[in-house]
Amino acid sequence: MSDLTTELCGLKLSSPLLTASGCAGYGQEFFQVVDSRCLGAFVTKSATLHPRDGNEGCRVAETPAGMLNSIGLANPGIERVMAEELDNLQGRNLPIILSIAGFSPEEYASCIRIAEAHGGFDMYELNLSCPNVGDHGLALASTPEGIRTIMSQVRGLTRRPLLVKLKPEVADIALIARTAQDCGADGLVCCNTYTGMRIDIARGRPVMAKCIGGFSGPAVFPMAVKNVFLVSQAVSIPVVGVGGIASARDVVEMMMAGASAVQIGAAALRQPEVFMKIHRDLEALLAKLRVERIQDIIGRVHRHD
Amino acid sequence: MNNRLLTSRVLRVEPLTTTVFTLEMETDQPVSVQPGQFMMVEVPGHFLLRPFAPISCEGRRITFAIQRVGEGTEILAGLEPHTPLMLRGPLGRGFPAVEGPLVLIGGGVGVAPLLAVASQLEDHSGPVRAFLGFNRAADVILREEFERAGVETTICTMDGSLGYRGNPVAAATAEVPSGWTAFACGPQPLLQAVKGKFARVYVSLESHMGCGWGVCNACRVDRPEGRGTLKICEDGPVFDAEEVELK
Ligand SMILES: Cc1cc2nc3c(=O)[nH]c(=O)nc-3n(C[C@H](O)[C@H](O)[C@H](O)COP(=O)(O)OP(=O)(O)OC[C@H]3O[C@@H](n4cnc5c(N)ncnc54)[C@H](O)[C@@H]3O)c2cc1C
Ligand SMILES: Cc1cc2nc3c(=O)[nH]c(=O)nc-3n(C[C@H](O)[C@H](O)[C@H](O)COP(=O)(O)O)c2cc1C
Ligand code: FES
Repeated sequence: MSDLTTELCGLKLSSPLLTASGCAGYGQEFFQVVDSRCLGAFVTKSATLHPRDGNEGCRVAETPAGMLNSIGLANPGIERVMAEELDNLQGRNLPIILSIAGFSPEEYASCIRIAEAHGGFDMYELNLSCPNVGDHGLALASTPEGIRTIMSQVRGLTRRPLLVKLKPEVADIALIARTAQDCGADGLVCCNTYTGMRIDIARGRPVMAKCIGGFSGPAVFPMAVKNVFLVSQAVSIPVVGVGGIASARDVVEMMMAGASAVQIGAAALRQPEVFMKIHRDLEALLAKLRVERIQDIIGRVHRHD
Repeated sequence: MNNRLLTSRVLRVEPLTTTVFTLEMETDQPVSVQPGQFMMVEVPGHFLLRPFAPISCEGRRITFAIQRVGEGTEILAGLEPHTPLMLRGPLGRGFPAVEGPLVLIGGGVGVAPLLAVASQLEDHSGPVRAFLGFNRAADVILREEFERAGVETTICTMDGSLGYRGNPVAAATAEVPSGWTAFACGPQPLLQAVKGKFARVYVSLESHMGCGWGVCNACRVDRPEGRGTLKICEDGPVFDAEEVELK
């Protein structure tokens, strides 16, 4: 049997499969259908300093081989997340990655202070890249200056590992990734959703109330592989691959591109049982590829450059 | 546990009107759906599943009444027998168990979950009446099924081509005492109109859904007076009308 353990910022993960922020809530509904032994860690829905209802009107749309969402970071706020929601995740022998989002560097800092006071989780994922809020979305991950500003405010507040979740649609993703590494990020999550739009042709109106939403699901997989390839080449810290993963084959491909672990979002929201299926299929696939330890394939493609 | 993944196959697709059809499925295991609860139904070739509230569910057989409104429902309308489909459910909270006189008010394909209610009222402790609204006589669906369930049924059409002329809320408020309990399903204006007209009103809400089982937060409905939001798929789709803003 192949060894599926991997490592992320010093944390041993029993499986390379992680939830993607916003696609598994805070675990309450998720663990009614998913066996936690298939997972390496749980990533929470992004929490913000204040509770948010999110955007009005239609918040999801169908696309060929994927979906659009414009949820707008609906969440109960960091205080309630820490006090109430993390309960569902604790006691499962599963590392917890707390995703946080904000509208200014100060908000990220406040969230981290509150989270530190509560404890009960293992790592942070800084969502610097939600496309669904404000006029142009959270653009802090768009420029090296944005990354530097935020990291300078938050890095000193915690000794827990900090993952930075990157925005895929930027001029030079390798530059952003290197900047995050230089500013003290312990790992990168690559990437958040792309952007897209659909129109209801019968009514001649955008399907989603906010017009433009985050695009994810199997359709984005090749773009995600490319970004993980470019980013992992540019940095020495671990990269978590996310975008369109829906099968064991996709996991292997993403890890060969340079990912130390992967997150599964839209495919799991559609059918959460994919976690069990991929976990099963992964062992068979690795055996077929004669891979004993999944860690051995991380970044394999770079060794053939 | 409720949220189950079921494999199923199409038994038959039958037109009821030019735009509404029934989709009858056989599941791999028995499933029990409470009236008003819903199932997520796979649309071949599409990524997201679509929510539908069954009109009946017996053992491994589950039947939906579906209106063709877009790409997904168009595909379902054209399915051949034996096509395998993934179903997920039963999901959400359906209509509550109530005592005493009950009025069912439905508009268009919104009558579907009310038929599931009507079919399970044999031992109900009071009178039950149904007011079913459609645009015109040619759109009327499921009338015999409501009558077969033993419910006194009034058909309403907007153009007066059959039964009461006008909407079913107007008909129900004219004929039924306001002390009754009302269950309503249909377009938003119908739900708004029925709110406050009866002692207790329960409404079934619709929304675009991502997951259908509570994790994606797509299906927001607001609580009154800025008291936050609820998820239609998990906290509903049936709500006490006083607990939600009907926009
Ligand atoms: C709990 C619940 C139970 C439902 N039960 C039934 C039922 O028994 N019979 C039935 O015919 N329909 C029912 N619906 C509505 C049904 O889910 C939608 O009509 C269907 O998903 C449309 O899919 P489509 O791909 O054809 O539409 P699209 O091509 O996506 O859109 C076509 C039009 O339908 C609207 N629409 C799309 N999805 C929904 C939705 N989920 N709710 C409301 N409007 C939508 C769009 O805004 C657009 O105007 C139910 C919805 C919910 C939430
Ligand atoms: C409904 C939905 C909600 C999401 N919410 C968040 C969020 O709160 N924070 C975040 O960092 N990413 C969020 N994402 C992005 C996912 O975590 C993930 O990066 C993206 O969907 C790509 O992966 P996928 O193709 O497997 O879905 C969300 C995605 C979806 C579909
Ligand atoms: S549809 Fe996903 S939370 Fe309701």
